[in-house]
Amino acid sequence: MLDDLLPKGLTDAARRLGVEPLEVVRLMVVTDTVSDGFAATDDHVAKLAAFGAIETGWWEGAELPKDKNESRQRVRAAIGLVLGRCAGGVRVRMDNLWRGLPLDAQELVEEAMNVLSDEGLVRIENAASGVLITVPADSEAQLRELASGKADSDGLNELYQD
Amino acid sequence: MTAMQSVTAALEGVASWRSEQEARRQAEIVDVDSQLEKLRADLAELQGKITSLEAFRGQLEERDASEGVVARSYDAIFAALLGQAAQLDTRAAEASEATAKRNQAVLDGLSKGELAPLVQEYNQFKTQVEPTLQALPESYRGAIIEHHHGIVDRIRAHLEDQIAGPAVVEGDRVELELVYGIDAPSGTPELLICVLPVKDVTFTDWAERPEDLSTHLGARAVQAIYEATKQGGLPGAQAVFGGHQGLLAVEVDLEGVSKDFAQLLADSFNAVLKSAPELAAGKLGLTARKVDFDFLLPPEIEDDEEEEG
Repeated sequence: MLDDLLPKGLTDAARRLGVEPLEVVRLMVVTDTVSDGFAATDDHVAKLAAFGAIETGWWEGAELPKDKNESRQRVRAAIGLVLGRCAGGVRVRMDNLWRGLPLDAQELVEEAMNVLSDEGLVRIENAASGVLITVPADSEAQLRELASGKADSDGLNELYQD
Repeated sequence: MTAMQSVTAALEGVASWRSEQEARRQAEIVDVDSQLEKLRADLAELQGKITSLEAFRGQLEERDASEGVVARSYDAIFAALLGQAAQLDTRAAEASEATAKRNQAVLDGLSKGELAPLVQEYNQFKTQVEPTLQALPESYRGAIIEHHHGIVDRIRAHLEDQIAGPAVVEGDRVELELVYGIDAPSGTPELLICVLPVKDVTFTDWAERPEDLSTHLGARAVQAIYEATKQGGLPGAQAVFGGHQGLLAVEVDLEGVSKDFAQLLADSFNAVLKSAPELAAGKLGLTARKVDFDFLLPPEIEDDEEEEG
């Protein structure tokens, strides 16, 4: 039991933040808070989470649309989340979008966002806080069509066949 | 008086001689023709050899003495780093053992020192009080939890004090290297590739394995890279990590970084790697070695680029 009170390190911080250990290192560097042995107290982890705008629970209560194709169903829901979070040009941390999902769903949503970026429907950019995603105003309507299932995308369709 | 020879007989003798002469001449012609044919065949063979040698000489003149160096360097680098990664595994296991021993000694000491009453109370809370907390009125529960947090804070502070710094490993110093290359075809850094003497599973399977010296060695190298990109005006640089030949490879898009990035990175590696306390305690030396960018690319990629070029 006392083991629980030993100083926590990089891996523990990564687990608590829901990111990979080397992302914790990056956040420590950009916030000038690299600690001895990469030790991370609760306060330190909270500060990294705040700086990185790391959030969890975006899928809590999210409804999946009716769709025979499970991959398309997940991606349509993810696009709906992006529209809800990024409307009006708001930039959000992109991995918030898949944090907490099963691993295969995480990969699917990440790939889908990259496809949408290639097709110019979302914009992905690197920032000190992390990889951010935003929706250009002129693509909101098209994304709504994709989220509702009224439209298709060649790139996404390829993804659904994998 | 000698017997008289008729003219006819005499001419017949001449005809016979002539016939013999003709036969000999024909035989000589056949013999000369045969010799000529053999000499011509020998000459043709020699001419073929001359042609072949001339062609080979031309190839030798055109051949670049550095041909094969890139592929051989790639193989040599990864073979060396894989060997070093195995050494790191061994040292990481030794360091983990030393840390576990040190931590256990500190935890054992807790129960005997001045914090013994607090430890007893902590244990009592975890085994007897915590399971019944939900049954208590909220006001009691809040007071008990607040009191418990106070105890936890004091024990934690003591542990942090006692476990400050990494455990020292007994044994010889192990010297390791990381290699990196910067692609700057037009003089401006565009891409960084760095390969560490760390097995890729250290980070690809990080959630399933304990944090150890390998984790810290990889983290220190990545810290140095991010320190350099930050100083180079690229605070949003995002490295991509992955396994290559079983080793951890790091790739960073350097678009927009300052032109002196190579020097910033060399300085950063030097500063971070030489001052990392856990590497010193683990008796690990890690040197950053800059190599030709092409040496880090798999041969097939290199060939593709040459074809495209």
